[in-house]
Amino acid sequence: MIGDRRNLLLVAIGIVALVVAISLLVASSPRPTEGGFIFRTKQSNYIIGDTVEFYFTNARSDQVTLGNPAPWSIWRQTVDQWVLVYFPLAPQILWPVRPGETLNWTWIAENRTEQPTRIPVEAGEYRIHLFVGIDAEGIGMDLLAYFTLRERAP
Amino acid sequence: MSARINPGALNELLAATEVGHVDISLEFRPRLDVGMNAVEIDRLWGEGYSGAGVKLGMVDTGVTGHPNLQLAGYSYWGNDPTTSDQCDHGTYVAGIIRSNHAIYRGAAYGSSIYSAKAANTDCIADTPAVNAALVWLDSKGAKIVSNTLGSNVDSNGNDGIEKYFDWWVVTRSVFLAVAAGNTPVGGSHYVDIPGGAYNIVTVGNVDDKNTVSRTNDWIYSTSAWGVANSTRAKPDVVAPGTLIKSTNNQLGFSDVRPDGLRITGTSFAVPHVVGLAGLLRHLDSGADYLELKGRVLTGDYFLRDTWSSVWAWSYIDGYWARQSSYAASGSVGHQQWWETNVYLHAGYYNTFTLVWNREMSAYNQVRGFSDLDLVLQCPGGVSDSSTSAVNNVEKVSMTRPTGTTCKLRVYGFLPSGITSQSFRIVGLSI
Repeated sequence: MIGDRRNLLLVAIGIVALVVAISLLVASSPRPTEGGFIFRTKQSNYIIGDTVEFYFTNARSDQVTLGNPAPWSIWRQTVDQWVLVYFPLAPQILWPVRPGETLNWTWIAENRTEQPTRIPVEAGEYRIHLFVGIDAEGIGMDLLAYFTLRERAP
Repeated sequence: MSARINPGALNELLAATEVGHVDISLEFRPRLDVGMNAVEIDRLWGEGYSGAGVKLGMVDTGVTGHPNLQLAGYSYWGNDPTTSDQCDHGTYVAGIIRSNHAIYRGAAYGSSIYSAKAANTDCIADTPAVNAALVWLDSKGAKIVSNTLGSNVDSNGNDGIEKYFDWWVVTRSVFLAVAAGNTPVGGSHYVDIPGGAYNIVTVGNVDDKNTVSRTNDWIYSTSAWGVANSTRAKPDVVAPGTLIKSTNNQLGFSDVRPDGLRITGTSFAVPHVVGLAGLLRHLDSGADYLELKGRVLTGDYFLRDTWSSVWAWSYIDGYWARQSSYAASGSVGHQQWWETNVYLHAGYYNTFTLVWNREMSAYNQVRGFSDLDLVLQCPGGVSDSSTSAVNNVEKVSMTRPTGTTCKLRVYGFLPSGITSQSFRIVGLSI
């Protein structure tokens, strides 16, 4: 009798632990943003010189299209506007993204001397733009992922 | 009887009382073959022009060895220390330019092609790699170059790489064709950096619907057009770029990659234009980059003298570009006229295209942009003029019932710092 109660207690504890674990997992997993996409950086803070990692997941049930395999751009917030800092050059081929597919990209947060027309990489607030065409609905969506760039500690 | 005629002549034919019935025959052929025939590059082949002796260059993702592709040279400038195409892109582009296959033939199949791989291992390139690739191609003597690498950022024509491109074209006398960019559904339609540069030839993507006939062709829905914060006319030309069958990394030919991706985008329109320029250089080795630009813009299938967001200045046509035999060069000062006499044959359609450069004082510094106007004045007060203040292209056209000597005039409105603006005029009379 005592053994049965102990077993029941262990089963109950196990169920509670499982429920808690699943809840924690769900809470910590990225949820699709508006439109059924996930677009975010892997960290919210980076140091100048770091490699900023970010990714795009098509969490919708239909295929969507990008203008090329890397149609993103990095912008820095100044006093009154967001200013272009960097964009990659990619083959200009239309790039479908299937349901559930994830694309990963990186940007090294450092100055590029070859682009004097753009503002320098400094500590501050940044955002990454990504435009996605939702073919099934005939509309597009500009996705934004934010991060903060800090100076390296002396 | 059967004939190949342009849409204007078709309307005339349909209206003729002697004609009882017209059947429009749509020829279906393999797609690369379709693209070349649709833009009448095959007619230049028929005259013996293959691009032989002409050096062409491509800035891309590299080229994988293929039995129908012979490269004159190759190098890499990204972080991937190989020259092969890891991105399933550059090999397709190379085939559209240079494939020597009997059916899937590239536009300039007899040319010498140099592949400058600028892409990194992730298929993305940085500006320094692209610029270095251009320097290397120039060192090889490749003066007709394709660049299919671009961004998804709206262009206003003044980004650093666009200034660099403009400077490069002027200082190295390079015909540089660049992809306009692809706009997914719902997006801003503006051309993407670097497609807004002034001195390049920006190329949009037409869907030829896999038919040689152009009556059903249309600009592909995602092909970018227009320039941000401006009324500038971009792209300059459009060419087939939808489901193009070309050399692939599996040593064959396909219009769809193994992963299902369709070979569609402005990337694949660019090599048609580069190949055509190569054929025109073969035809006339003295034609410099600006004349080639003028001929490609003049050789519009529809023979229009206006820019449109669908057909740009020209839906490229090999035959009309080949017929654009009139070429004049000159220069004009501030608030001055340049003029010359031109004879317009009775009943002929005449069109003239004026092209010039945005002048650069350094790779990152614009010296100034001259506003030139083009006027065709004939006796009796008959004239046509093109007077945009923002474009570096103007086009006029005219048909006279009797043979007439007219004046072709260019008026200059130059910014401070530019005392004389050189230009080129290309003409077509048919």
